[in-house]
Amino acid sequence: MKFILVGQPNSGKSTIFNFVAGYKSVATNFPGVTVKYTKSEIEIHNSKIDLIDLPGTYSLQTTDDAELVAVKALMDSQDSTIIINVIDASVLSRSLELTIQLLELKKPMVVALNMIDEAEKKGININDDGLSELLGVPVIRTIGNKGVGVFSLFDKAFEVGSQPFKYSITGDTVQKVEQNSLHKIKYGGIIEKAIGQISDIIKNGNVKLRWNNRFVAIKLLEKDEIIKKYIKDLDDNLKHQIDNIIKKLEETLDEKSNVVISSARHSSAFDLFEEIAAVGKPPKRDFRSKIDDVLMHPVLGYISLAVILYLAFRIIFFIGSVFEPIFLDSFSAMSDYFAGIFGTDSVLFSIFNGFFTGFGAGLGIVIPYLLPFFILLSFLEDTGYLARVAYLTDNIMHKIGLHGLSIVPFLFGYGCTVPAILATRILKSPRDRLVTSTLTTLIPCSARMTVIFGLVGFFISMKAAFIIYLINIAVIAILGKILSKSIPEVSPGLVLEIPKYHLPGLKPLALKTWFRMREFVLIAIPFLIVGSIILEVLNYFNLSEPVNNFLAPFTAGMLGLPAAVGITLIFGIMRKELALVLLFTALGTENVIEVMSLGQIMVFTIFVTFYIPCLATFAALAKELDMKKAVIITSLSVVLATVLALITRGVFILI
Amino acid sequence: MKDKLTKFEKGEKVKITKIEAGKRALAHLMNMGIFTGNIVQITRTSSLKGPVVISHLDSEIALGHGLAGKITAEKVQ
Repeated sequence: MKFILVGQPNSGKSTIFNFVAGYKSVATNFPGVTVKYTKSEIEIHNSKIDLIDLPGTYSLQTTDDAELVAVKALMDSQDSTIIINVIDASVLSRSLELTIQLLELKKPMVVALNMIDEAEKKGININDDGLSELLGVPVIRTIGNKGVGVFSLFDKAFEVGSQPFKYSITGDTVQKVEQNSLHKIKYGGIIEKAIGQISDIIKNGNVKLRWNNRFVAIKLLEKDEIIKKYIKDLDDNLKHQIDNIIKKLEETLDEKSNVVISSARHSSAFDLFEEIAAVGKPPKRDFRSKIDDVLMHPVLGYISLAVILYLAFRIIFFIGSVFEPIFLDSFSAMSDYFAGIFGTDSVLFSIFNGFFTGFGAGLGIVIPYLLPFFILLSFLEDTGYLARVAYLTDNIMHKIGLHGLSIVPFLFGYGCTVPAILATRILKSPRDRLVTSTLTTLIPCSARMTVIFGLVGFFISMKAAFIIYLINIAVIAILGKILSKSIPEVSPGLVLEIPKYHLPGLKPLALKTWFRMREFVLIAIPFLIVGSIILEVLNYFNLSEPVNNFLAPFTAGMLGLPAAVGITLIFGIMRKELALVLLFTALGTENVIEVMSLGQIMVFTIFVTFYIPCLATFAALAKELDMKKAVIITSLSVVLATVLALITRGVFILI
Repeated sequence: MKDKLTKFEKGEKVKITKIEAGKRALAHLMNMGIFTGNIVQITRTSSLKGPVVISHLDSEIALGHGLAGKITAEKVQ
């Protein structure tokens, strides 16, 4: 048996999933695309059940890849699959539009009336028995973030799955459907007539379809691309007849048939809602909407955003700085221990040392900062604040050809580029994802921050360090503009639901953080370890000399830096913060100012900030986009870094 | 009086009379339950070419400035 959770975004679907799936669940790719769904195995009454959490979708009429794969997975599901439709009860009318479409699939289904507490707060009282009767499927009340009703929901789904299923999906609809056919949702007379006519044509066409004829007819009226592919076996004459019916309907109603269907469904959902929900006196204006008068205010909103982000980063760096030394000390103790066994002068020691410094860097430098970063960001996301950030930044992002949602990966980018690239998944269009990923790699992550503050901030001034951040933002804006212009696409514009604020549950928050952390660990740590081993071995065989000489025409010639920095730039590819540590070793002093001029420090820092995202970032790019794009983005960054470094050198020669 | 969705005041209730969006945007809007003929309330007006927020069927939806400009509506009492 298999359960598929389907619901609109923000319906609390993933919260319910996480509540039962726990830490074992894995994010999986749909074959051939980078859209993720999550899957786990649960046990009910000693039966193992595959539980699948599909990406949120507003309807079965797809507008983007994520929805497309969700819908395909649903349509292709077997009879032994039970659909669990999670509904946000507080926006019941709109949610029912998806429910009606799911019912048209005629597959075993259970409805979870989720966030029932929110609905009641709004004064909406829902007659769930009435709803169940009208829909013809069981309806269970749940409050996902508190776990209320979740187990009854899965029990009910199991019960539905254990009964012999009576729907017919082989082709001819009505006769074979016995039970669960109560749902009476019908479109208006003219539309029903068209649906009936098309159903008959399909029936007579003798095409083997996996869905009931009515569903296929509705989908054809919706001009659905997926269905069109499936009915290609239909002979041309029949196809022509169908087209004529659609055309006639459109002429009669003076509207495109897809709009006609959606609009009719919209009214059905509303009628259904009116029938089973009693809306009491609307409560006093929720204090939560007063919060938005500040947080979404045209002036105060931006000030609050700045304050919230500032506080978030202060908290992250405070926690990080407490834990970092603890990890680092234990790893350097480990390194000393191995030095004792192998002696420092052996390849084996270099390998062990590389392994532990890489591992230590992952655990000691990255995790103390990344973990609080993930927790805070997940918190802001789950409370609903990130949607407000997208709202506030939409006009700014529009100037660089993106829209508000791109701000989320950008924010991640200031922590670590790897999760930032993974976060581009929230963007719908592949073009937005490509542009945002490219720009994200340029945002100074915490490792690059140590270089910026450790060199420019320390040896020049804090002001100069902030100037680098400003230059960085300006470069990203300009590059964004150029990229968007060169990959034009008619952006559908922002259509974003602003969810209600709510306090996230501890468990969903912990799980979300854990999933993000696990993904980071799996992608980044292996690269940190391999990178460090290579570097230690290079060091052991004393290869910095030839590397420096090889790079000298570039480093010394073009950029006017000491040739000794060559090796540090190679190290920087493995891990950006190493560029700083290694610079001290390469120059033989921590007082860089003795051997490098202010101009050289600036040129070096600018170059390190912009060139090649670290190996782990490269891996993330290759995983989320593809190898070719990862190579292009990386090459672009080297060119960009070189140009900016040359400009900086020029500026310092002039002044 | 009919006007673009961006032109109304906060708190006003308006009836959507025309949506001239592209195919994808239109699908998005339909998915969110926004159709011609619907009555929606302006929750937040666009400032600095930012999005307009409308309240519809118990949820709040932000519409980018460009898109909101392609939606025509009229004030209802």
